[in-house]
Amino acid sequence: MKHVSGTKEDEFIQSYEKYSEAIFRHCYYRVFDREKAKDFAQEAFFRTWKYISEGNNVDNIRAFVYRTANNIIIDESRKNKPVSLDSIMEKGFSPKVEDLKFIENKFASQKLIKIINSLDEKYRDVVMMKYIDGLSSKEIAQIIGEKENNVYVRIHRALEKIKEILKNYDIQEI
Amino acid sequence: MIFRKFKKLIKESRREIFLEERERGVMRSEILDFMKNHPVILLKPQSFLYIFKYSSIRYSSAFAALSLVIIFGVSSAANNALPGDVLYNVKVGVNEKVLGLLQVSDESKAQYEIKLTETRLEEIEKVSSKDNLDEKAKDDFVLLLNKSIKKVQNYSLSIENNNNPELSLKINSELEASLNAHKEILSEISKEKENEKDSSVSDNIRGLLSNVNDNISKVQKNRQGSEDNVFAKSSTDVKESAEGKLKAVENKVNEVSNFIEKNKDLMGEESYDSAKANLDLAKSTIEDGKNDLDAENYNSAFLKFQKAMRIAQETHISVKGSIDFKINVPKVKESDKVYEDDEIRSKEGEINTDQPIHSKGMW
Repeated sequence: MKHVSGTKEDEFIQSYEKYSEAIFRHCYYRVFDREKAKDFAQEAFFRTWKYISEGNNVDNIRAFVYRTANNIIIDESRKNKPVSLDSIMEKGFSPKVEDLKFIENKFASQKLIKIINSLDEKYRDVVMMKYIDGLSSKEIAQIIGEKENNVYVRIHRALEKIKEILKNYDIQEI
Repeated sequence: MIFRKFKKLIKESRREIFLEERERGVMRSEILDFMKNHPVILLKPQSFLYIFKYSSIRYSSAFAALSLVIIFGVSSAANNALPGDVLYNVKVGVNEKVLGLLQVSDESKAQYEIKLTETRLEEIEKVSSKDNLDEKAKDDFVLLLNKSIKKVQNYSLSIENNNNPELSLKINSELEASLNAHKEILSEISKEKENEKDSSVSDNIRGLLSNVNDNISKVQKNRQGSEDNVFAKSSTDVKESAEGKLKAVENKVNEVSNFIEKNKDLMGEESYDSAKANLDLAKSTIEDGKNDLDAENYNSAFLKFQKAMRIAQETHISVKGSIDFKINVPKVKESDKVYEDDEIRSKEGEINTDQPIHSKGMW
């Protein structure tokens, strides 16, 4: 019987190991602040564990943590003004660069933010979840509380818009 | 082609935005601490569904499943049984033991035994108010009550020996608050029964009360031992706990305050005033603690917040009792050693931090 509860704790820590990186990235691309992104990711795990520890069942921990992180970000954005791309650039864009060879890419993430920010919010979220976070359409549907079909439609439309945006870019820059 | 470039961009950006191993380690350790402070507590009746879902039972045959439904049905029905009921032995001997096995950490085990202590005391109150407390029932209650209280003390000792007197203090305080509040409820019920023809119920309640009083003295002694150990800790080590305790006690006071207001009409004027006075005492104790916090006397602040928590918890139980049994809410009695600041600590001087003091005040 003890094993039941032990498994819950082990499962949760395994989920942390598996998803913490992606959750952090998910938060980062929404708040563009490394420290805030770390705090939000941690808070999302705290809240998920609290929910589990109170005897509630979570079928898909990954989707639950994402949804919690989204709620935290929404709460935070209600408290503070949304961050504009200009202000991010003014503040200084500082991703972690592990290897010098990536400097040659002129910060792919900077370009990515620029593209993603050109999208409407509802398209931005699904594209980020699908392509940056690597979530399935079913998981995205669970997180944003929409039907799976609607998620497909949004992703399709978002990709059309991205194509248009990219056509206006100098392809060589990317 | 364009889409391939987009995907390449995403792949490259993943390499730029990442958590360093050190950052992941810090976050992991924060999460583990959080999990330690919020252990899994499985007290809800639906826990049986959880066992069902996560055990190999779900793969068993339809017949076995049907048997389980019957067993769970019986076991679920037993949850509200009182001594003398057919299902009471299922409740105490099966349900509670199974749920006890699901508790993993010393904290969750201690919390579970506190819950059982409270359940026993509530049963005693219900049985006494219905004039059903005979000598055998009284003896059985004393046995079960002492067993749970003894277990709480053992887990609390183990936590204290793991250098966590703050948690041990929380557990001892919670148990003390519960025992104090139920003692007062039982005293009131006993007084009502004194005038009845058959005085045996009143005699049996008095016998029980004597046992509860003995336990209160022991728990109080242990709580004071934990307070000494918290006070002996380095002030900076207690800072975070004090800040966390402040949030917790403010939430508790609000919760009890809302509960009192919601049940104002069911309580009677005298009880309502007493309950409010108790909460005022808790609030002024919190204010004292905040002053200590500002003055960076974190140990003293923690102890005051914990004291306020005990007052709020005791008041909460008393108010519930006053609604259930139409009795008055008593004023909370203070029985505390006063810890002011580091100056007093050094004046007291008896606390020898070089020696292990974890067993101080324990049974």
